[in-house]
Amino acid sequence: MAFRRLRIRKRAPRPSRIQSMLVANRGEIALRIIRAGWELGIHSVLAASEADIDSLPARVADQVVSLGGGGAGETYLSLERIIEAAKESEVQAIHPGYGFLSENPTFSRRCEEEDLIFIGPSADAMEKLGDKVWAKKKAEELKIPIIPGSKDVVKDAREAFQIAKRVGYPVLIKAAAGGGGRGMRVVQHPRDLKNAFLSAQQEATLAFGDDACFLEKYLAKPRHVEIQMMADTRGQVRHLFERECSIQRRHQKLLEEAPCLKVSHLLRRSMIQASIGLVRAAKYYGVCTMEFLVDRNRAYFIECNTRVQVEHPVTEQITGIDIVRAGIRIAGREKIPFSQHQVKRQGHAIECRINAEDPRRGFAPTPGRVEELILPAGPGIRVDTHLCPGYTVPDLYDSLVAKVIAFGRTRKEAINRMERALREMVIRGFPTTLPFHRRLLAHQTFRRGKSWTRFVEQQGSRLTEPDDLESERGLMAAALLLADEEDHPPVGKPIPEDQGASWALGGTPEQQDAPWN
Amino acid sequence: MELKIRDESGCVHTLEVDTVSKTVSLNGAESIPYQIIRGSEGIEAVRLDHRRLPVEFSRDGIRLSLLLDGVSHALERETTYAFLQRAKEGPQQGRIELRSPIPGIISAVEVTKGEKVKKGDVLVVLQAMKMENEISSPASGVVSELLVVEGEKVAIDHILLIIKA
Repeated sequence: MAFRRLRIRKRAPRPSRIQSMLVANRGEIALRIIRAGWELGIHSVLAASEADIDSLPARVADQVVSLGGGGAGETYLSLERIIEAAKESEVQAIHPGYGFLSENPTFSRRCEEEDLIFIGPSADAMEKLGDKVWAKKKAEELKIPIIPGSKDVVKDAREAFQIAKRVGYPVLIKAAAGGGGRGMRVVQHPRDLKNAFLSAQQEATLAFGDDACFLEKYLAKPRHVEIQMMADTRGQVRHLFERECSIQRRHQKLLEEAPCLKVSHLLRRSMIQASIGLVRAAKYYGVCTMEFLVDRNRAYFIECNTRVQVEHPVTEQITGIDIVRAGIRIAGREKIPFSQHQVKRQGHAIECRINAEDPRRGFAPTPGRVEELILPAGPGIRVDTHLCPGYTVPDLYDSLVAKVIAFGRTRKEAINRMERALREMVIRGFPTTLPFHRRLLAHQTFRRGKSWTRFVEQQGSRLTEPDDLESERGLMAAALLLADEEDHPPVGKPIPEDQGASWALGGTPEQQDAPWN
Repeated sequence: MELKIRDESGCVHTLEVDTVSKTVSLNGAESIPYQIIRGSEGIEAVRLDHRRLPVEFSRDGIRLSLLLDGVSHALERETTYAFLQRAKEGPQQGRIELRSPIPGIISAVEVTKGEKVKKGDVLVVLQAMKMENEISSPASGVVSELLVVEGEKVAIDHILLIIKA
């Protein structure tokens, strides 16, 4: 019963006010948005960079506009190029997805000026809730606990010292415009503070074009719990319960689940009340997520993400509500058609993020070509991915290549299904985080639900290095392939030049053809 | 056929491969049946102990790179030549080539030529896929050659600098 239908209205729903939209994103989320658009009868135009012009979302979209070549800066992050693409394709609305321009109020405002519907909050609400300083100030006013730290942007290293002294070490420095772990530094001792502060500023400038950083107390063993919210333009606010995202590496989420079984009913209620209060205070409409750190049965508000999140499918699975579709309809000034009582959750869902990264090399990105692809399926499994056989993951953008979502009546069933799915799944061509997730799912601490935000780091090589069976298999496979090569010497099949160089495996074609010693 | 393979931790394992009856045995343990599955573009998978494991394999001299069922392995074939080579070089003459693990852009070079570095010091920051990747020194020593500059685009396995231990 993953998709329980909500019986809400007797009349047939009116066609969406939005008839056409530009999808200003790439990868799996672009595909997800196009799918939602198709279900709503919306003409979807994908804005794709040259590297993505033949990607799966580009094949599924109703229309494709080229953003030209280059990295994110010249394409998906270029406000002018996106607006130009929207005008060229004469769409009514722009969906920014997540990342890129999704949390840029200048972009949202520009859309308003150009008479384009920005699928997301108003620029004003985004400027408020999306800004950690504003959100924290408001949270304090509403008596929502926040982590002790700087009230505002930390001006210089000297001010950082003063604040760190007040809240006590260890402290965390993070970029004001940040998210997803970039521009974050943990400082254990005062002697490391200055360097950490300067490098955080530098990274923030590089990633977001804004060097504003702030500082706060670092919690010992927190869980990351977040509340999915949605609100419409008439002021109706709904929550879709919580997600637990404690499995992270360097503040990058790797596995998420819903619901969180380790927070008390009372604590959940207080987080929900806080989230509703903040959404109301900002006069926010659209979908958003309120993030909390839960430490010793206390929840601290950390930030709000004013967009759809990577991990939205777990909430969709347990509530049966399509969050992406809801976001589009809200932007079209439609009313949320269900009451809070009608939002029910059922079962348990888990999402594993499969990244083109090698856990054995410190999760270094491993762009490459998909030589073979087998996606898992069967009861309770959903896969959101833009991969297809022959697709080359470009080295220009982020490394998320697939999200595997498992749904079950209980957490145990969901884990069991996920293990089954990951066993079936094959991505041959480049290393991925797939083996990492297989080991994680087998880990007793995770199975008991006793994870916290630094669990992965604390485990060290246990989750990143192969276990005994995997190592043995590696050795045996290497030996038998060597023996086979000696039996059948290679028939001088040339390796195409464009493949050799950028591969994670092996060297250049010349090296591969080198004779035995 | 008997083969010796060194794993990442430096342990040497002895493997016995019987290419006629198609069995392989590791360190004298029980023989396991195997099968090599070939596709249109070469070897696609191996079947080990009845489980099909997708594989990619490449060899650079004695260095073996393997991607088996999603797990990457960097192994080395142990030959008499390799053994002697290591013995000749010894730890004193160690010349370590620091190679780029990923394609990307050099966003910072933290050392200069001739500088003394300790194991674990950050030498180069490499920007790839929106992430800043710090590349640290695998050993203590002196930077004897610096082969990259800030802003340079490097391919995978590009030699960044050379450390004399």
